[in-house]
Amino acid sequence: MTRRDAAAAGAVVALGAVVLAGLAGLPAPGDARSAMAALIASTAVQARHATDVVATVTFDYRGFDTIGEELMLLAASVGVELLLRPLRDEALKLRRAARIVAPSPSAATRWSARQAGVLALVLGVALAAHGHVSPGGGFQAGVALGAATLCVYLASHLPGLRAVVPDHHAAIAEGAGAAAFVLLGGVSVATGGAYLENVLPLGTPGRLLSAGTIPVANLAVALAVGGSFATVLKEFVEQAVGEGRGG
Amino acid sequence: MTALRAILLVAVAGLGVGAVATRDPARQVFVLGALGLALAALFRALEAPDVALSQIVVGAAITPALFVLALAKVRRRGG
Repeated sequence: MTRRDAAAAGAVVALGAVVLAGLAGLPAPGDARSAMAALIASTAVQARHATDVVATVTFDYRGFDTIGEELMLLAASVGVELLLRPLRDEALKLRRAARIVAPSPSAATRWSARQAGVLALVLGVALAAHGHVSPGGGFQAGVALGAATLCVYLASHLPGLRAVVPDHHAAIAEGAGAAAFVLLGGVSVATGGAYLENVLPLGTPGRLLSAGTIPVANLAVALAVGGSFATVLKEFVEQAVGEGRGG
Repeated sequence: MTALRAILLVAVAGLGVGAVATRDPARQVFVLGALGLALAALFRALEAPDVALSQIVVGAAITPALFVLALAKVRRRGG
């Protein structure tokens, strides 16, 4: 063992000890030991009429903080878009180069990707619509919709992907969703409430049309997140397959 | 439930080490996908279904796909 290995092993053991000591101090899962957890668990459903209390916390109680979380993915996706844009000489080279033809997917891949794609699409819509009633919500719905776009690519390659997500439609959906989310919180502020405080009728807990603004926030987030993943995926595919945008 | 959590914790640790120990990036992607699935199962076992739902798609489908696409691009340029 070299001195470098010994130093690395020492660092791993020291870090591991700190992490384990920290983990040992955590409350057990499902243990509502903190006063805040007990308070939220006992009052949130009556107060906000959403049976998924996680959604109540993110889309109402936490208010303004949620914006950072929502816009983080938008920022990452804009970064990818910027980095992977074809430069002037690159676009020229791509136009000159003969198009690289990817082998068409096998029948087995096509079949599996179609089944998985339909499932992901249905799951995405269901998660967006029921985010206030059961686990899930806008982000989970958005990633499921992103996975559905991935399945489209697996089943029919770039032509299929371009047919389902033409031009800049995914980026427009991403921006529209993020803007809708920011504006929804702004409506609460304009009417004198805290950011993302409810402004709509609450309805009966557990029903599809209930919980006021939470389902609206879920739909906006689903649009933003689904658009982000579709945009990033399309950028990666166009780079990997070697055809410039519109090239 | 405790036994299930213990099994999943060991699986996550094992697959994490496996992902580091795998040297071929193309194989590494598959280990990473399996790690993503194991993590999603662990989150579910720890009573966090909301997080598990995000993890199952991001960790097991989207991240590996982006890695595969990036690898394809790098390899074509190299070879």
